[in-house]
Amino acid sequence: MANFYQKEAEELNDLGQKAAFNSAGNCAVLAGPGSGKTKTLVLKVAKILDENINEYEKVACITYSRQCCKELQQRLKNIGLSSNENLYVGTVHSFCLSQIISPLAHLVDMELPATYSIATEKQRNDCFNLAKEHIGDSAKYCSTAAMTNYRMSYLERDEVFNSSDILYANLVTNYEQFLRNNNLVDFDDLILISRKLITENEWVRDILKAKFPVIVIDEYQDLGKPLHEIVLLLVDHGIRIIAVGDVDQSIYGFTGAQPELLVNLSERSDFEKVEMKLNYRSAKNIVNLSDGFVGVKKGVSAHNQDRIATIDYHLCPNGLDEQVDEALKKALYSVTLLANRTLSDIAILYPDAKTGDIVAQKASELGLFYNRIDNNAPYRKNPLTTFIEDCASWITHDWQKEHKSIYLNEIIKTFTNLIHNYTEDVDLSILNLVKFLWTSKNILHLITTESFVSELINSHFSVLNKNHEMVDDFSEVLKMQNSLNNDGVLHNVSLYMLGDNRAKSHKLNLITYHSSKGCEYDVVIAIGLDNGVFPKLTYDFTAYQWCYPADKELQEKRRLFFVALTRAKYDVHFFKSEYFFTSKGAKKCYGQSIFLDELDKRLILQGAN
Amino acid sequence: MIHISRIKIENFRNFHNFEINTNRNMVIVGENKVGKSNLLFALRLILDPSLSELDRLLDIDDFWDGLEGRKVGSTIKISLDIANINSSTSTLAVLADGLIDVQTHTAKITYEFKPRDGVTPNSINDYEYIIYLGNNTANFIPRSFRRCIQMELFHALRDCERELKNSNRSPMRAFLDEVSENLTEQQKTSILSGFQQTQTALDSIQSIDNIATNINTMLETIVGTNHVSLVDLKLAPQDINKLVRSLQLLIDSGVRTISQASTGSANILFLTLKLLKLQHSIQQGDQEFTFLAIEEPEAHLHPHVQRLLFDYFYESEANLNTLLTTHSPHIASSAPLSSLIVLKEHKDGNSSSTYGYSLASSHLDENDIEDMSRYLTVTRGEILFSRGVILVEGDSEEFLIPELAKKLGYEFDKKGISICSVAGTNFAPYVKFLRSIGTPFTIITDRDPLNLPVPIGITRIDELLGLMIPAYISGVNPEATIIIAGQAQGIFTNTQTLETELINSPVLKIIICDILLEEHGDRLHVGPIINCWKLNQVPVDMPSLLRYIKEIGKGRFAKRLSNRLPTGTCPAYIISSFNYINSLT
Repeated sequence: MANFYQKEAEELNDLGQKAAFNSAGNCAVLAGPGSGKTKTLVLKVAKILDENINEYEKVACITYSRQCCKELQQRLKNIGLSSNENLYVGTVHSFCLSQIISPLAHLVDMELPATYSIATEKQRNDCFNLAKEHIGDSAKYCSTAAMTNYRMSYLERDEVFNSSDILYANLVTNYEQFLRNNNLVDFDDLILISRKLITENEWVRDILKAKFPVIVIDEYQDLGKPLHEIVLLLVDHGIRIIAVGDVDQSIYGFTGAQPELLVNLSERSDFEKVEMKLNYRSAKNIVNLSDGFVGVKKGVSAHNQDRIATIDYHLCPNGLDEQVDEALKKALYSVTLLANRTLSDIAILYPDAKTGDIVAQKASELGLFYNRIDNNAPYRKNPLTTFIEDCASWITHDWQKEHKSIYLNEIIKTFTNLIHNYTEDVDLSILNLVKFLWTSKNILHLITTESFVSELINSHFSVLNKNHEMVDDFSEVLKMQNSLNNDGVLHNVSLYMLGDNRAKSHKLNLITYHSSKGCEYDVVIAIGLDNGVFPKLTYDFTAYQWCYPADKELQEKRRLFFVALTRAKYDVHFFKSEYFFTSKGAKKCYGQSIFLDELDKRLILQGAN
Repeated sequence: MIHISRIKIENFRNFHNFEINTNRNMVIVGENKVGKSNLLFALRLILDPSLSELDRLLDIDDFWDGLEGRKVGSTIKISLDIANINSSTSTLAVLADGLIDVQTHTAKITYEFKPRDGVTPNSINDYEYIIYLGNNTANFIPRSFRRCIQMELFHALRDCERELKNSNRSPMRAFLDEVSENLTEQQKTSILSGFQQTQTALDSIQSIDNIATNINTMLETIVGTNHVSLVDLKLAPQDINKLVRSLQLLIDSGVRTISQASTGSANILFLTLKLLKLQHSIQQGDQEFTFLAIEEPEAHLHPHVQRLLFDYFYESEANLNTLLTTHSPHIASSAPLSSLIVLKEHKDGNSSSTYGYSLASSHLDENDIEDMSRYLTVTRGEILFSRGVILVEGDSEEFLIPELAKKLGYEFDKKGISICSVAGTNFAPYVKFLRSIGTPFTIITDRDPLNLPVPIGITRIDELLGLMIPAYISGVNPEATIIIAGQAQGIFTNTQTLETELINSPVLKIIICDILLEEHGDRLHVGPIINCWKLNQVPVDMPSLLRYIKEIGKGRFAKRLSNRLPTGTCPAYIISSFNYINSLT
């Protein structure tokens, strides 16, 4: 293994990757889009495991989202680090729960119920609504986002917390109380409780240091204040921190994320600051346009010096429907531009799930299959739905010929992980599943997608349905089942299509700007580039006109645009109508998106150079 | 330093519901078959990396017999609390998930042999074992645990000579292998050429060659050429590593091999090498912490050496906890009191089970410990092994009481009852000590009136009762109540002293006077007085009697008296005491 990673590491570039790989202490890596940060990170982890970790210690690799975590695990697996006992890979929430709260919280009085579970989405909403009702009319217009923001900003429950905003303080207190009354904690609790444990108890820090002398944190720009405080405490306690992130891609302000925290970290004297300055993904002109689009220009250069992307604006005067029609046409056309390119190399990006409905509807009408990621998607990707797709993939793809299929042992491994806590006889369950999969594979021509998925759920998954921890994930499984029904939106999806999820598939990506972070596509087709749609405008009651949102908000939207722009390996197409409709249905002409204006300016400058 | 602070065992072999608090080192004493080795095996189930998967899968016979028909369905559970896990970052990292107490940094590890989840157990085949940290049964010990914390057992019936010779298992192996690894090419060449030279010299001797030829010829005659591996007669294999490994320890300036050494020397050598190897592997980082268990170290060692060796263990600073099981009072008596663990069998339902008593959590204060340690050292720790103890004040009792008992037909030696003189009247530390190790006892003490309003002996009993009965308040009860309460607790007293009690018997009076006359008969004034007592001409003057006895020496007097004791002359309070202890053992 040692040789393998060292050999790989020889290929790292001198524009930041090597420096990050060779850093000896705390390190803040500022890595822009397509800079190969995950590759560097994975090799860095291999190096630390090889050189700095004894057999009793672990390296913790912590990410913010499940998706990043999966990606990281896959990449670690590729260099042979999948089952290393000295490696912990997980989301920040699972780290807090499994490494801090569940082994340690019971040792101190944390006002936690004796047994507790993680609140489901519905339970969170119920508690929030109960808290609002309890307070009365004054809380009528409070949003979860605002409450979360307050909760994650005023960390100490002191006078400042109580008095800064009495309403929200009251709301937070009541919300938490309702959760506790039902023996529940939510995801933010995991972080707040962990922070409290770490702050107040030196022995907790001792234990973390003994177990995890090195902690690697990916997507640091998504962290909020409480996690940042935890990190600082751990640094001061002697834990080595490697933080990776991109300030320009901080788009989760509504969960309390603060991009400047990564900057703070990188400016500390006990941190080495490394900037990655080579973009492997995008064409030269996109790299030049995007560098400095949000903040200061970093001097990023493109690896693909001879690749020039088409950056095109398309005006659709008939509105959003036309934008969608044209976007789909553009997608189909783009596939033909490059040999070997398939629909999965193309993504249509849109501002919200409602627009997603239109795109999905029209794509279906064209007979296209798609992979949709937004809140209104037929189902969300989670470990359960992904597992069902994998099963479909195994029975429909020939694992010997195409490098698309999954192996049976991976399916068994995942299945075991899913059910082992909830079933009494794991071996029997596995045996039944394998029997079922083999049978299905043999009579493939006789079964429908719906019957396969239904049987899988009813006969092999039923134990999960009864379990509280699985409620949220399982509801997606039911949504999946429903959408595959005769009258569901995915009724025409074959088993082959359902399982066709690996590279070079025939599913078009439909995705919101937000969800596209971390992804890359050959061609990005973005719609809704109109002032009032993206960005949304706010009505100024004194000036009787629509205005851009406040600077901080607009800056976050600008980062979101930056994310969309930098997803593309090749071309980017923007669709616009130059007007928008208010919530009352009035048509307002406020022109193309301000971000296109800004892009224009840069294009002109670039032309001048 | 990290150490086991509590052991809990349920339903395993001798143990039904066993729980003790422990200290850094443990000296486990108890009668044969009480479960000393089983206690060690229980620890090994959790700690010993050399146990196989099959060893950890127990059998129906490993359940406590008192379960009778309920063995299938029951669970064997063994748990250890390990304190101070923060002594090193490695042990902290490995054990932190098992943390159960923050102040003492204590973690818990549990071994469970239980029916498989969700299966209604019909036989032992439906059982599995798990080892987990803390209170969460899903929290299995990490793989690194086995390397970090280890337990090694030296069996009672170890054959040190063979262990030392067996090159794979000899503790020397690690050292020698390190030597060969670090040899320079030059050294290797010079060793091999020197070796070659000797070998060539030996090869040139025709008679050696003949031996090999004879063997080979015979082999071929018996089994034919196809099945034979032909042999050579050589000094050692010609591989540098094997050559170094063939180095052996010699004694007596290199004249004799270990096989010629006494078993005792071989044992010491073996233990020494094992210790060196442990230190070596801890230094190499192969392991962090070792629990070293030695069964019956006394087996082959001279008592004097036993003490020296184990004093070394107790004071060792190494990352080591020592656990000994022993029958030897020599070792038991020199062990720090707080490390003693006494195992005793008690009735438990229709069966019996073993209970543990440890002094790690007893109420002995520092002075008590000093008193008891001194006593144990002087008497060689006999009372640790006793089933019952008769506590007496001094030498007189120590001599007379066994004789009195014998005359009454009691066989205390056979029953394992010891008589223990506290050399004075300070019974308190003994009472606390015996209560801590669960040994029943009785106290025979004098009333000692001394013309006080409350006799000093009664005050003594009153105070002892305060130690023995939780709700008892000393200093408020009348004498009669104290005496009755004392008798219920096994404390018996007389009206004055033992000697005055004895002289109340007409038969004994004559014998006592005879002894006194043998010593004092020639004295002008004293002789006649004693004669008058003997002839019942005047009543015995107690203070004078005691003075005369003292002049002979109480012990000497008692010894002489004990030789002449007639049957049926035992004072009633002593008989009560005998009956009391006899009924409890």
